[in-house]
Amino acid sequence: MVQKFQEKYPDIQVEQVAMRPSEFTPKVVTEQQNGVNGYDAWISPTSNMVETVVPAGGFEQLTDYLILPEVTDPKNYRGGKLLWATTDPYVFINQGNVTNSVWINRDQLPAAQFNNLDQLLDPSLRGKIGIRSLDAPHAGSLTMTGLLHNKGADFLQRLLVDQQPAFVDNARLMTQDLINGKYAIGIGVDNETLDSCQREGGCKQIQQVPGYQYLLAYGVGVLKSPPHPNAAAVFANWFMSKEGQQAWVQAQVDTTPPPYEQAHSIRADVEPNPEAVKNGSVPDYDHLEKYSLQGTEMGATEMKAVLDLYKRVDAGR
Amino acid sequence: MATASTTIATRPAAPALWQRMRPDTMFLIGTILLGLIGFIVLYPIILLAINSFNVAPFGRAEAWGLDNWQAVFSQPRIVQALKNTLTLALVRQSIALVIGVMLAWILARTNLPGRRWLELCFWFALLLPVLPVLMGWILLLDGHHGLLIQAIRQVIPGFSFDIYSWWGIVVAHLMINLIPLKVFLLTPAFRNMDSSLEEASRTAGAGTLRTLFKVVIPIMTPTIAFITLLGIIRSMQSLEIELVLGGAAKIDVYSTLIYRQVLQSPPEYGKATALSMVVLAAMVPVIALQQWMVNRRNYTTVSGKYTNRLYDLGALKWPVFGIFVLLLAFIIVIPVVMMFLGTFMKVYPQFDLPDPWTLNNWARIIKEPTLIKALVNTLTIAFGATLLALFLFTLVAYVSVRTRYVGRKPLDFLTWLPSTVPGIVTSLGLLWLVLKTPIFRPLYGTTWILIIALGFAGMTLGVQLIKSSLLQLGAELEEASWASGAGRFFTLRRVLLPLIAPTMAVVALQTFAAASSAVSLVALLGSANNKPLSLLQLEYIDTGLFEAASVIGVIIFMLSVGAAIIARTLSMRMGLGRFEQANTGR
Repeated sequence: MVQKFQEKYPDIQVEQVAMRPSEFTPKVVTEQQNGVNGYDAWISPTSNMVETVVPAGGFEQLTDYLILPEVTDPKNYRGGKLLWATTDPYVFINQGNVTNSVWINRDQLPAAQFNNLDQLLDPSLRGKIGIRSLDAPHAGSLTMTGLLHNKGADFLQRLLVDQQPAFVDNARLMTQDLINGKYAIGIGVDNETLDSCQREGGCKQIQQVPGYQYLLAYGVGVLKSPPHPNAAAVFANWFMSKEGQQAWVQAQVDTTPPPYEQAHSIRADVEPNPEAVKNGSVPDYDHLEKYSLQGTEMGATEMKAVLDLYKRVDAGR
Repeated sequence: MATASTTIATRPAAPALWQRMRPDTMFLIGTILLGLIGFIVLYPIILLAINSFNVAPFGRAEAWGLDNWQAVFSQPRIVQALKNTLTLALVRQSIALVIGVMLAWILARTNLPGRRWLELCFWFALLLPVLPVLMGWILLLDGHHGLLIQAIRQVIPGFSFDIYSWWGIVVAHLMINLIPLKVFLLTPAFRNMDSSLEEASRTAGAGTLRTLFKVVIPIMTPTIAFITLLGIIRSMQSLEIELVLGGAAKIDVYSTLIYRQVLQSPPEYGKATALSMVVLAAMVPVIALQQWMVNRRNYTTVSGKYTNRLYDLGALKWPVFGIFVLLLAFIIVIPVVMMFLGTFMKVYPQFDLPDPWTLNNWARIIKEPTLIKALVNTLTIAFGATLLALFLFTLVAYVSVRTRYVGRKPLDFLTWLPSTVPGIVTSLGLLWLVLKTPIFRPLYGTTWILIIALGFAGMTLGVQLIKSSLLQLGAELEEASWASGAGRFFTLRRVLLPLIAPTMAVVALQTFAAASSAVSLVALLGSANNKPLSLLQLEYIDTGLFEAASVIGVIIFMLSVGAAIIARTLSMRMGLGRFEQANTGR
């Protein structure tokens, strides 16, 4: 994607740093607190941006930088509006992936016995559920926010306590345990490993169970006092333009393994990757109230509720 | 005409005032070292300690209070976590020490066939990445599906062992790092022992084991004490294995409690640093005790009359060799095979796929456009850190044990402190240090700051190991050199350094391997220009391409293996190992 930008603007030299948001966040906040402003723009899942960097005053108001009519016109976006991750316009959401991470081992639990998430509280499932430890934001806790959003705190409490699930720290190992039949249901497993396994003709007994999904937002922001404000403005406008978002979608297809669940854009004039539509990853942007919006201020509240509930459950174990 | 010749004896002129005032060179060097290391070690720790009283969310304006400390000590599982940490540390360190001492003694002091190659295998074992090796062990020892467990149950029905247990954590540590580390650290020290001490004991009628416990081990006290203490400190910080195995077994340890604080969003560094300060405070008296033990007596094993006659194992030679081979099969062969296998698999460890094998992982990495640059960055950083570490640690160790510098004990004490604070917390402290210090700030984001940070990272192990080695050298070696007219630094360079070359090789390899695979520190202090292989590997992991990421892991491993071979070759040519003599009689 950066290459496409450079082709269009060869006079702007881009230095790209690829880091996990959880590692980049303390770095950029500490830098800013010590007067070092080394970065212009940031694109990633928006949770760390919203929960840590925005409250620390680490972003510029993006509306000061967005000037192209095609970027500022709400008609160009699904849902008919510019979707911000925060109340104030700091982080612009360019993509929201809808998913959950609830997988079933059908050798352990045939479809006749379990086919929707309301059945998670079935007493026959006691001790047969593996959940990734809910001590930090990840696929497991994100899935729980979807359940919380739709089913309420009581449902979650009963799932975490009455169903006596096993809490596992490592996603890949939990995935392996699900495949091996140690658990009948896995929440927070490693989706990519399962996708790879199934793509290669294995793990046929493992199926994902849809429902009560969460939306994981990706977005862009311009960091406080960018060293190159004009270049940052050019980049932000290009990124949210049709051309930029097409490059964004294509980059996901080029650099991640199938089924390219994430490959779509919030722009209405950018075609999503067909796999993303087939997998149901593209949210209903007209009815976002269906989802727990993770990576937004509202979603942060629900995530905190999930983590706090787990702490109480964990303390009582 | 006769003349009288008179000789008047004159006293040498008194030194001029400026000569009397001139500071001793070692005093200057010692003071510079004390200042430098004191600053680099204490400044981040002080910042972290202050931060433990900052109760505001990370990134916001500071607010001071005791909430972090109250939250830490009111955690219901903290007492159990502390108990688990201590019991796990003591049990596995005890077992590893006993096994390690035996193995190191056999490798260094006997005529075991292939002992040099066997020792090298232990070095290689230490270079393996922890997580992939652990996953291999889980494949073998999982209580339900472990391949080894199932095989044992064919012979012993009802056999029960699960790696997801307290003893599973102990076994995993022993096989993955503890036993190799003990052998790695102890063997050079055993090799430096004068065999005449053992011969005198046997001549007096003591058997092999009695000699080992009554002569050898007491002589080796500084090395054993330092290795034991370092092992306990590292056990307190051990994270990866506990995170994977302990989580499933509901076993918390101190490091996992700290790790979970940092994982929060926003990260709870206040609570993490409060927990870390508790560990630091607990370790301070233990470090002081170790210093007292080491300073009590003389531990010279290498003198002007050094001999290294090997003990003849006799009929036990090949059975002992067989035990080594079996042990190394589990410690290095199986993990390396699994690691390489993983790079040729489509989905590791799904052996039951219709066609599980592929070359695509290697093809993807070889075509990676940033691979060469990442490789060059890795080599630059790793070699730079290694050279810095060798120079600095040798100097610090020398000042600590071979001079009368007044600050040598505080200097030695300071070198212990970095290892008492967990790495995920130390990284933040180092970031603060670099950004707040005018002399370091211009280096931020450059390769130089990474070399400095990674060079200092292994200070505890490096300084203490070289120090233990220097303690084994008799003073008469230097005195003979001085008496011949050589100065202090000439003596250090031409007499002492060759004698401690094997130990320096160990320190060099440890620094190189750690610098090659470092992630957190590099991520925080580096930039896009100096991205090494470890960060490239992380990018592949984050995009779900685990198998391709494991190819990079193999490349990093092979780099370290190459460094190990070079280090070993050089050290054996320079050190006391070249004086090994066969013992023709028992």
